[in-house]
Amino acid sequence: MAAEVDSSPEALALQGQASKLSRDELRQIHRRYGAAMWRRCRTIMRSDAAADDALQEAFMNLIRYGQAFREAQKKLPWLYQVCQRACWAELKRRQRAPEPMATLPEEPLAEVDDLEDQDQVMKILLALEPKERDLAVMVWVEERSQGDAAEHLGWSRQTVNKRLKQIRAFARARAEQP
Amino acid sequence: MKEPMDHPPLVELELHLVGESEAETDVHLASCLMCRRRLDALREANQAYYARQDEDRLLGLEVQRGRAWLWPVAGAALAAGLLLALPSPPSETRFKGIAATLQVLRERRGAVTRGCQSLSVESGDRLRFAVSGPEGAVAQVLGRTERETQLLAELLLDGSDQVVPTESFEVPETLAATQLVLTVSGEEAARCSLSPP
Repeated sequence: MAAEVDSSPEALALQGQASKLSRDELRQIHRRYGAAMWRRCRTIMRSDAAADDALQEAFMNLIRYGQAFREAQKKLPWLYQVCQRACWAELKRRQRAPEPMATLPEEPLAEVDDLEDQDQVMKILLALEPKERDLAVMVWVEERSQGDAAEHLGWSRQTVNKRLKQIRAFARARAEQP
Repeated sequence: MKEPMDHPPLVELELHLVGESEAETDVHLASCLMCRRRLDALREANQAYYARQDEDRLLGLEVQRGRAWLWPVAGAALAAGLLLALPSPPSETRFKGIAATLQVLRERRGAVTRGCQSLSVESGDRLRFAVSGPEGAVAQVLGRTERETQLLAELLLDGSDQVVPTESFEVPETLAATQLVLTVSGEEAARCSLSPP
């Protein structure tokens, strides 16, 4: 049986496959993917300035994961992961009360309609395990189907469905807390 | 399995814009006005982003260019006194575990002098900074006078001795005594001082 390959940025860096990206490479990445990366940061961080900070942090991290970036088959999903990690780290670091989040699509938010407001969504996301957080972003931000999310996460559709139900239940429980 | 009439998710549209989408998304877009409009909105958002974003600053690759040497002039005697009163550690320091160096490169009539402690400067001198520190960290060189602190250079450290900014500063006719502070990842790491005549 083939060993499962952990191709996360951290794993590849730890395996010693990381080599720095050059300045020109960074510029090329920014010119091709920067806007999409910034939008992902903006969705999570909820302000332009905070998104800029998170994106800058993502690029700082990206330098270290150079080889992993070069080897990624699809660059943008990989870069999204780098952005999300930077955002979660920045949000946790700031430990600030989330501001109103206007950029999550209405329909997915309606799935957690017991929430008092959208701020609660961010608090819930931060409280989730990293892979569950990825799942929530895939389904509610990227609008992926559960089947698509299952494929990306390496989970069965049943597992995805079960986890989403757990997240909703967790969200409702959090929303009901005084 | 995706139904033929399903609209692609947002992430597929983003992937389409960077040329990484699935073939079925491209086929769908060719026949779906609603998705094309959504795609147009993303393109407009992209244009707005690139129009406002300062790429060099974001990527930490460049110092601020063309910034005039605008440090305010304090009374020369008062400023000099304050400068001398401030402790001035050596150029190579290790504050809070950060190993970094800062030195001033003074160009005067074609000769370049490298120094740090109370380096004398006069009108017409041109200055740059030699900085080194931990690879991957963001460093800033700040100019501190009695009245204010100003960002003079910002760079991404690459582990080597880096000289910033690209274009040297010209020392103006009047210059207040100035402390130059190197910060690495927001922490003070080294300090130099300039002595006006």
